[in-house]
Amino acid sequence: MELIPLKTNGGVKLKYFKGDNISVIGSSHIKTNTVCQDYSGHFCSNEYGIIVVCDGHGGEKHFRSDEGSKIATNVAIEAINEFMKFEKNFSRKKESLLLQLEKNIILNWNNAVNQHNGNFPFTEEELNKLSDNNSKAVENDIEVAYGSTLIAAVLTNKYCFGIQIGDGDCAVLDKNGVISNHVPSDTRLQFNITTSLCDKAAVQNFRHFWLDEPQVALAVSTDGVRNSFSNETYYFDFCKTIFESYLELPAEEAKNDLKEFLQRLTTDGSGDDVSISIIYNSQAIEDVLKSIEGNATNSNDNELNKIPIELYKENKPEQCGDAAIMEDENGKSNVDDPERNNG
Amino acid sequence: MGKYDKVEGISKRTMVLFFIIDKSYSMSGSKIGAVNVAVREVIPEIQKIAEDSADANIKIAVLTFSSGAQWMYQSAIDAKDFQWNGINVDGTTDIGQAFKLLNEKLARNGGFMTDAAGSYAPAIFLMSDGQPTDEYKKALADLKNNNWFKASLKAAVAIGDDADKDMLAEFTGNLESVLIVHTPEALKKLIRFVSVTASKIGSKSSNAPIDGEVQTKQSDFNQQIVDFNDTLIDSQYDDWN
Amino acid sequence: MEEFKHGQKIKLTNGGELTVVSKLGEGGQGIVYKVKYNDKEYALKWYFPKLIKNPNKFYNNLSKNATMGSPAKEFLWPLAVTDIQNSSFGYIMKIRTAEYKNFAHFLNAVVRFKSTNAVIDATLNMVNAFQSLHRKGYSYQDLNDGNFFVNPDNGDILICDNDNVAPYGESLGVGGKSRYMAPEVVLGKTKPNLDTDLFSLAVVLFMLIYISHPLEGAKVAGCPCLTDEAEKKFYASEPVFVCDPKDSSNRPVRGIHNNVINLWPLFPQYLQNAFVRSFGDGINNISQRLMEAEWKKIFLRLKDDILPCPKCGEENFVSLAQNEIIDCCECKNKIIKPLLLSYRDFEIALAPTKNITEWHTEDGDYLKIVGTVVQNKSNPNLWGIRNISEKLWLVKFPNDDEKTVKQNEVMPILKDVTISFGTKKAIIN
Repeated sequence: MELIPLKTNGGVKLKYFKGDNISVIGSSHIKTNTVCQDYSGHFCSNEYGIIVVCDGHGGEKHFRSDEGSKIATNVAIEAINEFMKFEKNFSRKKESLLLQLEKNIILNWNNAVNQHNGNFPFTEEELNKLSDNNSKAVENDIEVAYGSTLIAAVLTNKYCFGIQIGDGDCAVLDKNGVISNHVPSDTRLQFNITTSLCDKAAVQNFRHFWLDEPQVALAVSTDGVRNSFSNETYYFDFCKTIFESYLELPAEEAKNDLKEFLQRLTTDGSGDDVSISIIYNSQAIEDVLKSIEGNATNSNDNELNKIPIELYKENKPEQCGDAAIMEDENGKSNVDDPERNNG
Repeated sequence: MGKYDKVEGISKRTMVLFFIIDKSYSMSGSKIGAVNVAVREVIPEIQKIAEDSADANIKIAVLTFSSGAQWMYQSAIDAKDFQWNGINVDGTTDIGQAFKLLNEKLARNGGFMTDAAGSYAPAIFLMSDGQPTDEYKKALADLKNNNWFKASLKAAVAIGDDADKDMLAEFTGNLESVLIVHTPEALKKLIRFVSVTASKIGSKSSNAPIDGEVQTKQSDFNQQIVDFNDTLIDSQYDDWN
Repeated sequence: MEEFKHGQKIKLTNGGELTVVSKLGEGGQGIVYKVKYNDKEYALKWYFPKLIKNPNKFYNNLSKNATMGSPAKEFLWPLAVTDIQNSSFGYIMKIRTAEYKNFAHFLNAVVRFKSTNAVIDATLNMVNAFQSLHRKGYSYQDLNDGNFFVNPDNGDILICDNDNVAPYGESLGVGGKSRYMAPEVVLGKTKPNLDTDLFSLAVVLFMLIYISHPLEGAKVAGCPCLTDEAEKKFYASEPVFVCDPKDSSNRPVRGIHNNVINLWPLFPQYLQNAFVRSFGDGINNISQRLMEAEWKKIFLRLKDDILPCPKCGEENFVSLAQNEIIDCCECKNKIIKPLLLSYRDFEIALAPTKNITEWHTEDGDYLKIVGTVVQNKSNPNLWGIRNISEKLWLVKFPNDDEKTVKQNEVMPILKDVTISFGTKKAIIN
């Protein structure tokens, strides 16, 4: 299957890869006045897309895990962008490549967390809320207070890969329209036990996959999403619905629809924070979804008609490639991006 | 929003609360009477806990044993739909059979632990008044190898002085979660307390990293049981009249 | 390449013939089969044709090695070479049994050593292996995580993939992987030789003890992708020891190198010093690399140093005592420093389960136990040493009383008692 960039009359290219991310606070967190501990991000360029979701831990000791998940998201996107610069070395064993990337992320997360703690040491108020044991544990091991899971995945038009520590899911849509999860499972992850970036043996708790065939779309989500569905098939169908929505509607509308639905999902389902980050190959996805659903809509027209003309101008690499686009639960982005209608 | 209207399969996470009840002949009279009343009355309370919780559904499964063992129903049932069938006594105390059946249903394939029910570790509450009459040790060993069992919240009540407390402690894994009662009143109060507490603790979700204490829920549970036991007014000696 | 089938026959250069039984596995270089030869079962490694750089040179070296025989029991050595067939060839070796685990599994935390004693035995076995190899005039060319195996219960080792072992000065063209190969070889300055092997030995010993690489810390983790250039820098041209006392730029990282972080402080200073030297001055200054005999002394000293905690059984080291007290590294129990049996060359902690070996008494075999510390059955606080050798010990007490200790007899452990083992006189203090 050839992946050809779309062209308009002006001969300019639309980006190969499009993506989005959203985090919504859990209905149970609202009830207990807890902050959203999830964080998500994504990054697109002409060559590849990165998606990340992170889930901070509940529990007394992890009182800064909302910060920890935010740091993890930023660190992962930065590290992966650096990693992708070494693409010509990717003929090496994939196992070693991903292991090195994971080590790099752990190191950078440790450093960023320690830097945050240096700038904002634990307050008496924070420490007083803890039991004596927990207070001691956290003072000796500050990373524990920031503990978070991490799932990151990258899509290019030749290969894709994903790395994961902790619970959560990564779904891959292949060119036959089939969705599956390629991350090896960790049998220890049940009953709310999770592995974490703050584990002493974090490097051994990472799992990953690499596919050397072009894939159409990827989604990563925190466990609040999967736990709201009674089985995996329903969850995969949900992922497919998301891709269809982004294909058929303009980005802003698709995002709002998804956000509203996620609010309903957490209320009727797991009650937990829910985050999703998606990336898709904008040409390939149309073909695949059309061929399965028999959808006759010419989504090219929809896209071209609804997106303002200035977005067709070829963006300089720095503009697309820059900071990741982050979303907090209020739907505010922290970066001005000419490509997205922030209103 | 139209697109998402067709999304199916949304469900709350589920915790399963197991009652394992001795209905051997020696339980006749006020002992089984207390059990029947207490469990029937606590079920609506459990449902209320589930409703208040925002993140859990609670299902109930009841296993009785005397000569042999059987499940009250063929699946775990939502607390709000559960209908209590009064238990009658007969027979001996084949607790080994009960362990065997419990082990079978603490599983995904062919068991009560379906996907949604897999999100929370189950809570298991065992009550017995006597000595086992079958070879139970192997069945208990097999049960203890079951991962669901290992992760579950456990409590046991010895109904009267003749109960085999050591075997009950083997079941729960520690002496703190085995309580002895000597009167019907105490038994009723304990059943209510353990069921409510297990439901509350068991249905709380908080992701804990693997490095940390995995046993927090059980130790929290044990602590609450011990504290409750201190406040429980009960006779020193069996008085089942 | 077509795989061999059950029953297929293959000729050996010594005139014998093999029968193929089944396929055991496959690697980057070739396929391994189970075969029968002279009624016994062996493993046959059969190379993929065209993968070997200099096939004639390789084949000749292999045949020579098979004829010379294995330098030590730690080597899974080619026993016989096959005739050339279908443009390829192979060799047979003993079958590796299941209790030996690939060292890569230790690094992945899938397998663990059973005890500190097993770790030290593994290091001693590794030193012996290298020493034997060198005495026969060989140098190892291609050591890496995947080609040696260790028995986690007792530290027995098995070094496999010995196809590339060659006499000094000769090289089969294997560059040698950065992680184990001496910097001067990686940088192309010399070919593998005795001195470069000493570097590889130091790396392996560090990894056996700390389950982590001595040059991998924060600096290496700071790199998102290890290119050939990056590897050359970290392992050869600008290496920094993770516990270098002067340079803290490559310290072990929490979450990645937790083994080093936990284990480094638990071992005595003399071991730490040996590694600081090996990966500090020893990187560029070849004379600073420890020789096998020096390593052996250190590990035998560690063995003598081991003191099991009387409360939890965990192995501690007597030389870590502060003010005559050792804090158990596991249960924090305060252990009172026991009496030691001292001689010029050694100092043995005298506590139950500790042994005296032939190496102590007459510079002989360290595996042969000649004495053992025992507890008095009626008074467990009374300890003695039982002579389990056939030789006579002469014991002298502080009040000048003398006593002979024959086989199976026990002598009391008391301060200032001396024991004479032949010409060696050791004192308890």
